Amino acid sequence: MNITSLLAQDQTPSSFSLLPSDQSKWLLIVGTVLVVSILLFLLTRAPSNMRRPVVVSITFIAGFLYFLEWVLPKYRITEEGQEVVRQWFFGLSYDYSETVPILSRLSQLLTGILLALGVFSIFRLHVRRLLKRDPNWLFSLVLLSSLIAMAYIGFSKFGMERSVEYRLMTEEQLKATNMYAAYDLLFDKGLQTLDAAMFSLIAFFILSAAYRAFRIRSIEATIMMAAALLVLLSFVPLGIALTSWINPDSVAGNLRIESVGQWILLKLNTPALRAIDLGLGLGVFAMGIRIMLGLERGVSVD
Amino acid sequence: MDIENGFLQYKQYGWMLIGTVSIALVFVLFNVARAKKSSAVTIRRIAGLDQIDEAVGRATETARPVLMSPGLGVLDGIAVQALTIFASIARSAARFGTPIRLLNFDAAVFGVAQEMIRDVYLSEGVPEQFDPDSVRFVSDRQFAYASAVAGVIHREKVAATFMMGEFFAESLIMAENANMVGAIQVAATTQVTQTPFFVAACDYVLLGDEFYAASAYLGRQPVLLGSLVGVDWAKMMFMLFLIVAVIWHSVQALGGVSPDEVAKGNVVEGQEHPSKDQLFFVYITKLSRE
Repeated sequence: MNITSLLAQDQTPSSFSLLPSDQSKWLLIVGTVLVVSILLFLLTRAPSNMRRPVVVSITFIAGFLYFLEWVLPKYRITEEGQEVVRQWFFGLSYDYSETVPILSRLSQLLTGILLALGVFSIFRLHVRRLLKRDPNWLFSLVLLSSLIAMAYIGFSKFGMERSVEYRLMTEEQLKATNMYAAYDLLFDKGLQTLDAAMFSLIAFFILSAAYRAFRIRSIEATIMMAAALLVLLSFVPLGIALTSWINPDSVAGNLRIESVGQWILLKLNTPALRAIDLGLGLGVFAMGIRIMLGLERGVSVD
Repeated sequence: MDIENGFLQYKQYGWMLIGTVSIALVFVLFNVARAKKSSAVTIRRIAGLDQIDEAVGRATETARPVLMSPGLGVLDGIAVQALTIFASIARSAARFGTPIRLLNFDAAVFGVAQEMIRDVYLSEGVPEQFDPDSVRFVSDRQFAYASAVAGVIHREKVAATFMMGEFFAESLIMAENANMVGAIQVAATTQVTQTPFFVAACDYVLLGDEFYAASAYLGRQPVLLGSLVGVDWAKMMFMLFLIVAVIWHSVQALGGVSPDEVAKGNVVEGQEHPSKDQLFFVYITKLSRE
């Protein structure tokens, strides 16, 4: 396989495939950035009584775009499967549904910019601590060195993966490179292991939280303790053995510990969780309407 | 045009879903409009939200910070609601001169939170008290975030923690660490699987939609309270539907087979009651999902 055919396989368009020679694309990008910057600057300079209607309108339109995408029909179900209807209103509706994901990429762009701000915030905080020799300056040093090392290795690996030499390597050759070894050490053997260590702590925290919660202090705590005990027993062989003498096919079979445990889980616990879920669903629904209409005077409008 | 077979999303979600959403929408909008005319709407007490001033007051007395966490969610309705509650907490903290720590997982939430807290200090007339480092982006990895929050809790011995938003496995790590330093804890999460952990580890927990009622509760604006009444109407509609469905379903299941089904040949010999698929509420549920 030669280099030209390898490069020809790279059909995925990305911002990195944009070459500096492509003047019109650059012009478009610079123009868009300029126009958006001017609009944002004007918005920040505008008095708050003028700014509010603009922000409310943009919020409403943005929310309404997604609502329309959900409601408008796109695909028709036929005997063979799904098909796109491209006539009249339905054609427009399909085109619209194809456009909305492109618009949603704008928010991804914004998140990317804000991530840079976030990293800058971490950097500033810990550099300051380091320079001031804060009592915990050693933690800041570890954080900054990890941040720089991980970013350097990550970007280098990304660059390496786009090179032609990389594509010609076998898996064994790849694993033998210093870059691969460094990435493996930092990410797979370092970060992933630390994540697993934190996750394993949960087992101990569950024990300490359960100890406090199950102390019998009130009638509610007593009911919870009893229910928990029954459910726990219904899952262990020792618990099941306690009532194994009851005939499972008789009416009394309902009093076997595994039946009681299942009954608590399915008939008491699940409906309660579903009721909370229903409340949450309706709550977020009303909240969405309040944000779209600009009634929520929290972070969204002021 | 042949649309006999129906369109995908209406087949997937069913007309019932669109109908239900439309009715709930009418309920909310009607009550918002009604509340604009009359301010007679009241709201019951929510203990967790009443504790904000007490928790901040305790932090002031002990000269220790108040920690806030919006969880692992991205910038959506849940995060906006969490930040609205945090703005109220920051307002109390600004009045008392109490230090705050707002630790973020998502960069977009961090950006909005920083501006929001700055505005709170500005509106309280103490912009000089605002410390830009009090609102921090920590990490966008779950357990790195949890360990950072636990670290701040222990190093700074926080007096109160407010964990509101989307939490997953890290919820208990954070809540138990706060418990170790004796902090007052108020929590709310939209993840029902994590609610029991918060109930076990925290002092006050906002259950279910109490979380979304927070902005109306804290602000007591009639329009927002009206939207809560709309949600309550929708809940009552669901309850009524449930009662009707249970009775209808039971009567139908115990009744005889319909002559129409017999004529269609859908009834087997010796069958006395309708089969499960012929029951009305099973039928419409399948109709909407097929």
